[in-house]
Amino acid sequence: MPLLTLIIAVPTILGLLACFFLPQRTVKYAALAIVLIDLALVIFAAGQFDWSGQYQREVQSFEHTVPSHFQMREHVPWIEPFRISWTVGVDHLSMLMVLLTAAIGVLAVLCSWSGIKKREREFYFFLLVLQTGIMGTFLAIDLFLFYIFWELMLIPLYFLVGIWGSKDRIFATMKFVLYTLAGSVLMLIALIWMYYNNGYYEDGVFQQVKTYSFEVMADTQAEAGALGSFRTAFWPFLALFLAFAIKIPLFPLHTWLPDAHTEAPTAGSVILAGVLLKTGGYGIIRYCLPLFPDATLVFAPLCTWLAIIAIIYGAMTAIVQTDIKRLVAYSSVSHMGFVVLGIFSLNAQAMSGAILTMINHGISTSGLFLAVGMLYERTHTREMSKFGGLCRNLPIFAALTMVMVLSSAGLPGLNGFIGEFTVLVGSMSNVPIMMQAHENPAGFAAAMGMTQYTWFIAALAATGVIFGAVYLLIMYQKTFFGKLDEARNGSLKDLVPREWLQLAVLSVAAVWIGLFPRPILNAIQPATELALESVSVSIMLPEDMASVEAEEISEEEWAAAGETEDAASK
Amino acid sequence: MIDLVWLFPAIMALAALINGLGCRKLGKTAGYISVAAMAATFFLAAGIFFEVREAANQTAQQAPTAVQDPGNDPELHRWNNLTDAQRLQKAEQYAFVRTDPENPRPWDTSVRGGMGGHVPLWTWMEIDGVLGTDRNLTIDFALHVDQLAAIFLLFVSFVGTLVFIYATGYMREKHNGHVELDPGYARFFSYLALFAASMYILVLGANFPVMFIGWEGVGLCSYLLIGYFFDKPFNEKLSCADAGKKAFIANRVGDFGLLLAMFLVFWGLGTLDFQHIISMLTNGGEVLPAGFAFNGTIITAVTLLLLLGATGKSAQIPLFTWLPDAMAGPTPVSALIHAATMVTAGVYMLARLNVLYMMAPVTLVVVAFVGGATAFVAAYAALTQRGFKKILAYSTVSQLGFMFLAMGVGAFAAGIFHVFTHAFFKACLFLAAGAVIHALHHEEDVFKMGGLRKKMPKTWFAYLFATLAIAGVFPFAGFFSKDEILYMVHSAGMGNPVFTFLWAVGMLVALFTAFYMARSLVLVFHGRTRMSEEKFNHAHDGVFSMTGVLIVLAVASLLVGFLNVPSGIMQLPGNLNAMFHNFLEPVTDRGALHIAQTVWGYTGEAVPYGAVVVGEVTTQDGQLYAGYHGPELLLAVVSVLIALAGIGLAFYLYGSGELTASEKLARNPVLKPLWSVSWSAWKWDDFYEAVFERGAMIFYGAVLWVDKYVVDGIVLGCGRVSQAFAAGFRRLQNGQVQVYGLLMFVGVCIFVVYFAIGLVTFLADAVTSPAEGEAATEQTESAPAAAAGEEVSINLDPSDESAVFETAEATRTGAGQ
Repeated sequence: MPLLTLIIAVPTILGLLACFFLPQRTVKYAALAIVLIDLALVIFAAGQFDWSGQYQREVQSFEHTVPSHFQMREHVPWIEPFRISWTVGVDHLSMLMVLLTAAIGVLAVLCSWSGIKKREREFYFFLLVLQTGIMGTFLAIDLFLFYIFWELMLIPLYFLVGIWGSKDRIFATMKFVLYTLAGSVLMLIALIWMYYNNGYYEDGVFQQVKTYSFEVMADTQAEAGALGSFRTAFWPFLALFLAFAIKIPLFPLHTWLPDAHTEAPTAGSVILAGVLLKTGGYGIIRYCLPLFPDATLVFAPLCTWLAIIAIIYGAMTAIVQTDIKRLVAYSSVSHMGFVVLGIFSLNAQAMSGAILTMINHGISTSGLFLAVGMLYERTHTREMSKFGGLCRNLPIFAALTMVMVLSSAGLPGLNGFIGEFTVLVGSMSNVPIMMQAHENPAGFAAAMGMTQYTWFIAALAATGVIFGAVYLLIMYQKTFFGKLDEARNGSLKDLVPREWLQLAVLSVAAVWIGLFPRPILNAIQPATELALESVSVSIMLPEDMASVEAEEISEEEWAAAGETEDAASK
Repeated sequence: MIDLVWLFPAIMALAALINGLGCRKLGKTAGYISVAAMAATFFLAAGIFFEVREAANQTAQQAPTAVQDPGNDPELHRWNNLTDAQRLQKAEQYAFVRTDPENPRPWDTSVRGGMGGHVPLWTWMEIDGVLGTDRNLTIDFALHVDQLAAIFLLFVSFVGTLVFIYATGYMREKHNGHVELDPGYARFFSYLALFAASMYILVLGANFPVMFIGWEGVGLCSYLLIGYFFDKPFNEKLSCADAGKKAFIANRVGDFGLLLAMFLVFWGLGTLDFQHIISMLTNGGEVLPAGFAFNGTIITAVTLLLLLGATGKSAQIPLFTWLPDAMAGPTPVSALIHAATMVTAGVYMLARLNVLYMMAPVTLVVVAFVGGATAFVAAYAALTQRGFKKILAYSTVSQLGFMFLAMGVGAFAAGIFHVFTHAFFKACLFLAAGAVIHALHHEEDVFKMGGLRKKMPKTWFAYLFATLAIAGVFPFAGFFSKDEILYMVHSAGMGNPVFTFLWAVGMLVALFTAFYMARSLVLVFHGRTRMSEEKFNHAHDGVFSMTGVLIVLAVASLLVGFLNVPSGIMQLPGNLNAMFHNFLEPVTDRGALHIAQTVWGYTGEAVPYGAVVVGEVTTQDGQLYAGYHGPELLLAVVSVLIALAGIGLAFYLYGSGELTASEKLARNPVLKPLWSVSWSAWKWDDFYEAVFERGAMIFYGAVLWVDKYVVDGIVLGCGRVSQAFAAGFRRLQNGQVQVYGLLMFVGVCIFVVYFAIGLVTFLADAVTSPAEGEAATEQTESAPAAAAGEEVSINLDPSDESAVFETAEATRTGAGQ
């Protein structure tokens, strides 16, 4: 059974049928059924999935036979002259992301239940297409297919924000689409470059391996080791990275996010924050690190700095917001800064923390957006000054929002803490790697002042925990505490079961990950290993450096030694 | 019993959950649930305490030197991963004290080890390193019981139970004969139970992150309970919710330090387990990374960062300003959280990590000065305050300063003893104050009270006892604990003027303490009343749940001091002297002994208190402690006299019930500035407000401006520029054939000129030297091949270590040729 293809296709195909043949009023039930079916499929796939991290087998991609760790792989040739194929597969990283996507998808339908009153048919259709796009992005392992899904995510979101958004929706949606499109173009250029330049040097002659398959590319580059063609390719890395960084979004490419978030309907914000931003982090871990290990090392200090700026800057700008949704949007910038910091610290704890933070952010920020949506639905405003004292007549709402706020603020015992803690622990321990980046003649780590001050950098990032408390508590206080001074807020109704169920599920997830993160960390571990081992090709530890000097081994032996060393350390 | 230690947080969390979910439906039951849960944990704590004492006695009887220190064995820290056979084998190897023969657990065998019982519950976080340099991160959700934890469990559960009982009376009000519960009654008890759960995790946490759960958890509950009256203003400036937020954020600043300390420790030692860290530091078995030796840079940084964390939680300079505002919460909360338990968490942490602190003498001096300065600043501020609870709040800050002072001179057990006694008398003071405030319908200004002794005799009795205790009058509890600290400070320096100065500051603070506490006693209970006749007549003692608790605490304030009578003051029969100290010694004096032995060459058995801080130690066996018995009695007499002087002064100034004398003093031109410094609490709050609230907000606003007009401005600018270009080009598409024709003509001209130039150059080349031209073409064509050839040669050259980059270089030069 082509399970993954089903997971990708079910939302759109069933959504199309439902929207064409069902009456307007029943569409939302159909949409709920569809996302539940998709969730069931994903859970079934997770059940079939080999979580041990040992899975590996030979696969065929056009003329190439390569080892692949992707499971449930499907390969159907599509545009053969350019070796483009429908290749989907799942590994630990994408499995987790797909689970998150399916779960958030259900919430997105539920939170639109009563809020969306015009053009329901189209709304749910676009929502379902969006889910297809995201699923495809996480599951595609053919780069061209990945690109197609990457673009596919944009279209439904363009309509979701543009039609069902609030006041400034047209401006926001244009800005968002054009901004991300600029990134996509860069990505396309990088992909085409990679297609023609994938290969290795044999006796000094370049052997081209034309492919869009990630598996083949990764294999080529790994086999070629220090002689891989992507080794010193900084421009394609940069193009690819920029596309992902815009999506994350990384400072200073973040300004589309507050606008898009603020104007989007609740479901749009939830999906945007919950899963869409993760495609950026996913892309970096999946493509940038394994395929461009040298460039990763060179850019790591810069990215680390940008991540730290994002953490602090996002938090500071969040503090002075008056619009709740904008505040949460800026808090996303801050949180996703932790993800980038974790990735580019190039350390096991930080990398696992980054992946976990992606999931955590999906839980807590979605929860916050859901809460804002529920508030908006009742009052039709998002200005914090219009609220106050809601604690008294909306106790359930206040309590559940509190859990989300605390989860977002990284209170230990809840999920946010585990992610931030592991990222920070790791980023403080990455000294040897940064020293290596310093030794690397091509690197400019030294110029960035990274080597001696790694510790200081973790310290800077850790100020995020203070700021996080500041803006979240300000938000909570202005909304729920204080005097109930707006008369009309006195008659607000507390949550109905459909509403509190959404928040309760997220709260339980937050507590669960906070207290028992081990299963999920163990599930992340293989993804972390994969990402770091590919980078480790370029990392030479100080002791290796010494041994190289002593023994004067040849280039090939050197590369091989590095690989065995890494295998041993694993 | 030790295995059941997880019940402490579990029971309280369950109570919190029931109360939280049941909410308004529960009514009075909510209070009973929390009280019952808390009382259950008290009995558990008693059981644990006796078991720990038994185990400690057993270890004390064993030969301490013969057995290997188990602390270094990493497998012991993964106890739940061992099989039963392995556990038994470990137990044999390290000769554990077997409280339970079937289930041995790692008890330290050495008398000074204080390792205690490790109860791992589950593996919390686990991330294995991937690259060669990565560390494996494994953090168990583990609890740990030793002497220190047992003491904390005991008094937290005892005072907690009493405060919970008190709160069932306090949180309801009589209206026209029928009793009405506070609208948030269940919510209140839910928070209280959650607080207790967090406090237990804090005390029991076996490693940094688990302790941190409790650490932040108590902060959260403090936040929720300070802001309990979330829609009411607290004073002119702050609402209750503001006060809660302030507390949480001040604590977060401290937590930032705590987090960084954790990261540094993990980076250096690869573990976050307290016992593992301590044994790594004390046993030379493992090679410590640079910076972790005595007085090393990293250990100094770690301890300073931990101190930052402690100043946040324990309201010390520079993060103390939140505590006076924390009084916005209901009074039982102030008594339990902001006096007896939570605020002592910083002291607890310092004592828990005394080995680290003893290894960082620079930090110790900082701790002593932070403590001394806080004690002075807060006591001075308390002198003139009018808010009843505010006086007590500053008093708490000041007393916590005393505890830090003790920590700073290495007298960890003395500090913990002050925590212990302080819990009783300060809870008593707060609860008595609460009874008064409750009786006077939330009047908090002591200038509007007076003469309540006759109306509220039981409350007066409790307040009197507690006041005498905190003032340090013999034989009340505060006398023994405070005097021990002052004596330790005095003897720590061995005549070093710095410590003598600190001792003098301590004495001055003792005088202040006696004065302001007696002042509050006089203003509230003695003299002529200054309130309306009607209000005065209506005032009466609280219900039994309140007065009963007050009396228990008052009696405790009298008695608990006798748990730790120094032999220098009074020789008791048997081993009744310094019981508290002897019990804690294996844990709290481990660092002192270690430093004395390894750094100062001390060989004796007795722990050289404090003296190791300055290092001017004669290392003859027993000298240090024995040599300083003389002044102890003298110092005690002096401090009692000082306390009595302070009390006397307060009665002299305020005893009549008229405020004329004190007002005259306040208006005195010499004293006025001194008075206003005290009244405004050194303007500390105003300074913070200006810098960290208004100043910071301006800065954040500026950042937002940059975001909008610079970062986003560039983005939108790009859009505008392209729009402008497009607008420009659009003008060309105006549909006029003449314009198109003109453009076509221009285009054709450009092409013609271009080709003409090309043709001319070619012809010119061909005419001058045809052979050279051919050669040049050939060379251009063969350039890539030449470059490739270079690469081959470089790759085959084994001597070149950075061949890749050389290759790139070669390619470039090849192309250049």
